Amino acid sequence: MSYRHLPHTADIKIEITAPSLEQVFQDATALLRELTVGSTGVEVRERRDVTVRGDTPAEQLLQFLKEGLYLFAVDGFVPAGWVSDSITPTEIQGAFEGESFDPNRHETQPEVKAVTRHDLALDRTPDGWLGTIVFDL
Amino acid sequence: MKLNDVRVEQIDEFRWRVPQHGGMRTYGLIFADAALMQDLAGDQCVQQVINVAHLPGIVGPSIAMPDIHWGYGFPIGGVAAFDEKEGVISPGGVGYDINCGVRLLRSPLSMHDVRPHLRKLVDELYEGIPSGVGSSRADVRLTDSELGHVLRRGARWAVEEGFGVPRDLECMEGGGALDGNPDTVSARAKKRGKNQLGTVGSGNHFVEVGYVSAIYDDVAATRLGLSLNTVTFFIHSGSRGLGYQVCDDYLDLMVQASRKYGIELPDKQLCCAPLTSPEARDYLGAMNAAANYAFANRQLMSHYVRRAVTDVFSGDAADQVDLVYDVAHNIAKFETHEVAGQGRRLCVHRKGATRAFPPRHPELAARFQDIGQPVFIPGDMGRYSYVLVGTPGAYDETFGSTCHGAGRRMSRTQAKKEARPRNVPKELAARGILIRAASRRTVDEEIPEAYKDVRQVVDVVDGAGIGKKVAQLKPMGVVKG
Repeated sequence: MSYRHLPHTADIKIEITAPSLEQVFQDATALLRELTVGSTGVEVRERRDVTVRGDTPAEQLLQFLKEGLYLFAVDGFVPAGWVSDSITPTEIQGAFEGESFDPNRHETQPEVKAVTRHDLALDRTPDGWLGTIVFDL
Repeated sequence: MKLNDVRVEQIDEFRWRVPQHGGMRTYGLIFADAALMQDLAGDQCVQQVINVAHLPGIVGPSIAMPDIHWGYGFPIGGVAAFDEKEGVISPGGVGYDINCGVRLLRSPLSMHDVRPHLRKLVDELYEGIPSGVGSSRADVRLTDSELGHVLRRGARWAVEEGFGVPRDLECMEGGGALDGNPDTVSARAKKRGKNQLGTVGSGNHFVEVGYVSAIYDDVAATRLGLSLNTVTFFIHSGSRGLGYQVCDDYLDLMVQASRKYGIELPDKQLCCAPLTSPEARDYLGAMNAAANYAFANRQLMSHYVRRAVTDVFSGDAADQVDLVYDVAHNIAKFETHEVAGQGRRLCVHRKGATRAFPPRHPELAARFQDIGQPVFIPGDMGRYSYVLVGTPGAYDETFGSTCHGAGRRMSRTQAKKEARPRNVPKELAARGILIRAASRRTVDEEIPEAYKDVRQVVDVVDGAGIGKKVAQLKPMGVVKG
C-alpha cells in the first residue's frame, strides 16, 4: 500500500505514490476499503464491473473513487481489490471484487460525503505517479 | 497583519478587510476577533475568501463568518451575493450537504423531569432515528411517486402524511418547501434518497436532548417558549446521500459550463454557471429539490422525537413539543436586498452560514415579526450551543447572514489519537451527558476539544451586531452517527 494521510483539519487528504497507473487504482481501492470498513478484512464474494471516464488521469481517479463510494452508498458494496481490464487516456474498465457490508464483521466508519476536486492531482514523476485527493466528511 | 502571505487590515474589534487585488472584483470582509484570526494561520480559508471575490457578478464583499474554515471552493462560513442577471451560481458555494441545517424543538418538560428518565429517552431516540453511515429506515421506503412529492413539497409533504402539525411549517425557512424540480435530479441521486428519509447520518450530525442553561434576552426567549431548564431537542442533519449526489452531479456539469461560458476560475471547485443559463436553472431546480428532501428529513426526525417523548413521558407532553424554528446553513436563495440605496434581487450563497433576517422582515411568520428570525448555533457535544435572533445589522452588512457553528480546531486524526486511550462516553456521562453512537470512531473524532469554543464565535457575531444572543443550551444526551 502506498498512500498516506496528509494533515487536514476537518476532512481527509491523501497522497498516493505508485510506480504505475495500474497500481494507482489498486491503491485507490485499498483506500476505499479503509474509508468504508477501516482495517477490518473484506472477502471476495462478488464482482462489480465498472467503467469510468475522464479526460485527465486526475479526473479518472476522481471518477473511479466516486464510483466506489456510490456502490457502497447504494448497495453497501465494500471493495477488496480491483482488476483492470483496460486503461486508456480517457477511460478505465475493470471490476471491483469484494462483498456486502456486514455490521457483524465490518467496522462502521464515519460517512464520506464526496471526493472533491480541491487540490486534486495525479501526475507522472520520474518514479511513476504522484496523486493527491481530498475527501469531504 | 499578514496571514499566509495575504495582507489583512483590521477595521475594528470584530472586522477585518482583505483589500481587493489581482483578479478580485471586490474586497473580502472577515468577522473575527484577534484570537480567531490567529486560528486561521496555516488554513487556506482566507485564500478561499479571495477566490470567491473573483467570481463574476459578485455584489458587496466576499464575506466570512467567525467560524470560517477551509471548505471546497467557498470556505465554510462563507457568504456571497450575486446579481441575478450578471452573476453566477456555484454548487461549491452551497456545499455537498444541500440544506444541511439545524432545528430546535422545545418541550413542556424541565431538566428535572427528564433527568431520571434520560437513559430511556436517549435509547428511544437512538432506536427511533437511525444514525451512522448509509443509515436507512425499514419503515419509510419511498416509491418513485412519493419521492417526487418529497422533492417538490418538502416538509409540507411530511406534515400532510402525518409527520407533524401545520404549525411546524410556519417555523421553517420558505415554509419548508422551495421551488424544487425533481426532473433535474439524477436517477443515482434518487436511488440514494429512497430509504434515507428520517435518518440523521454521520460525522458532525446529531440529535441532542438539552436544556436552557442561560437567558440573555427575556423578551425573545419568552416569545420562543424558552425559559431556564426547559428541555429542548436539537436536530442537525441535511439532505443525506441524495444531496451529496446532486452536488457531485452538478459539479461535473459546472466544470464544463465554466469552460463554455469562459469563466476564469482560481480554483476548479468554484466551477459555476451564469444565473441566466440553462445549467444554472437546472442546478437551482435540483438544489431546491434536495433542500426539500432535507426539510422533510428533519420533519420526520421531529416526528420520531415526539414519538420518543410519548413513549417515555406521555402523549400530552409530546403534543406540546413545538418546533421553535428550522434553519438552513448550506443553501443559495434569491432574495431582495438594498444595495447603494436600491433594492436588488440577488442570489445569496450561504455555505456554513445562517440566514438571520431582522424584525419586521416580510418573509418571517407573524410570531417572529417583533423579535427577528431565530438562529441556532450548535457547539460541541460536551459544552453548549446558542439561540440567537437576526438583526438589522446583519441585514445591512451581511445580506442577512450570521455564523453557523463552532468549527473544528483539531484534525480527525489528532482527535482520534487524543481519544484512543480514553473512554469518551464515560467521561461525558460523568458530566451528566449520555452519548449513543453507531460508531466509536465518530465519538472519538467528535470529542469536545476537537472544536473551537462556540462561545467565542457567538460573542463575535453578537459584538459585531450581526446576530443577537437569546439563550444558551447545554447537552444532556446526544445521538451520533
